[in-house]
Amino acid sequence: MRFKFTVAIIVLLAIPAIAAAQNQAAGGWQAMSYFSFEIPSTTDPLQTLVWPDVIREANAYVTTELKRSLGGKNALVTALASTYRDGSRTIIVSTALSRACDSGANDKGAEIEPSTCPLRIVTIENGKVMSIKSDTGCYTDHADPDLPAKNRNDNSYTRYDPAAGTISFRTTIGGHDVPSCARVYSVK
Amino acid sequence: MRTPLSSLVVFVGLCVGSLWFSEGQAVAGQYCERTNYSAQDITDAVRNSSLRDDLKGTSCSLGGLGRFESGGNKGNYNGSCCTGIFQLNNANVQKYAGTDRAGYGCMSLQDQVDAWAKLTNDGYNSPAVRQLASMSTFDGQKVDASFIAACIQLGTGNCQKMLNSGKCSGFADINGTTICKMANNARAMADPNCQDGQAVCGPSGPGDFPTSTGIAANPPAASSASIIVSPTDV
Repeated sequence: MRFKFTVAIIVLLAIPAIAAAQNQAAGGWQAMSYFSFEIPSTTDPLQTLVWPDVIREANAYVTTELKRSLGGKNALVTALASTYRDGSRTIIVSTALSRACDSGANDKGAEIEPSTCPLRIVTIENGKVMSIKSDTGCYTDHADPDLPAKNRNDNSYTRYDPAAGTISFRTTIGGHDVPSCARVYSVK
Repeated sequence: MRTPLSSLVVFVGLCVGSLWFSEGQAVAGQYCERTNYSAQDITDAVRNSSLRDDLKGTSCSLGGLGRFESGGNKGNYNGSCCTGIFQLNNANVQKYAGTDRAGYGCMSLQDQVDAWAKLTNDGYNSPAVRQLASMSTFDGQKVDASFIAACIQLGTGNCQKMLNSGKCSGFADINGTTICKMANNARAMADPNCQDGQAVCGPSGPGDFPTSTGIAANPPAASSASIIVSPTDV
């Protein structure tokens, strides 16, 4: 009981930090932010509310299958997320790279493709999780200097429509939208 | 005789051309030492991995697959998506090796192959592979373990596109490599002296389903069954 209350308070405190970090142009497309969960956190709602099971599974995979010690860290689990405020509600939409994703070709002649990954839309009101909707969505590799120049701005974008209660989603790879990644999710 | 002005123009032109060219081009890279593992070395690592036994049945061709993908150079990065002996993509490196591209390129051959084996084992349960496994041939090509491994290698989503099209040409990467072509290359690049350790008992036809995990744990799809046995018949 005390734990739940503490988590709710922590989440309430943490959400504005995430929301503030995002470029939330009203009505426009918002680039999803990249998060790595290697450093465990009890205050990050992405780790505590959205993806705790995925982090646990990845940790178990590294320690039992790969037989490597994590040394107090989490396994390398990464996610993309956008956060929206709608009155008293906070809506988090996120995709995480996990073994449940289909990540395309492994081949010397292949190019970067998006991964089709689990996507979750979590609605929080007054510090309580009101709903978690699960679907699939596109995840893009985190940009690094070794990637081809054309792929350094690859990302997924979301747009929240409060009137319709939907979140639109799109992904660009190599400067082009990927048609199969264009989706509209209902938040209701 | 070239004037100083024309030399400057040529120099600037070369610089601009070089910048323009490199902007859209992937630059291949090397992580840690360059290696030249033979098909047999790779086959041995596959045999020592956790790969399903029925796919190990043609591990000679999987050694050929490693040579086809990387030339036996485990630190090879193709400059875009893929790294290592089997050219795992960035996302799969993170998911199955628990590290990034540079860390993966520096892993031992066995550790790289172990991660690839786990990816391949997971891919085996995808709908695309189950569908492929229920066929004896696809577009005139025998469905064997090499074909199934190539289906997983080029991505099960891409493999499904090929299956939906009914033709090998239903999916190809930017170099025109199809799943059928990759399987053929893997077979062709196997060590000629390599001997597959076990009978090739991959799911190459009706009744030829993998038995390493037991039939009950790994049943064929009902739609592919040709003989129906009811409980009263037993």
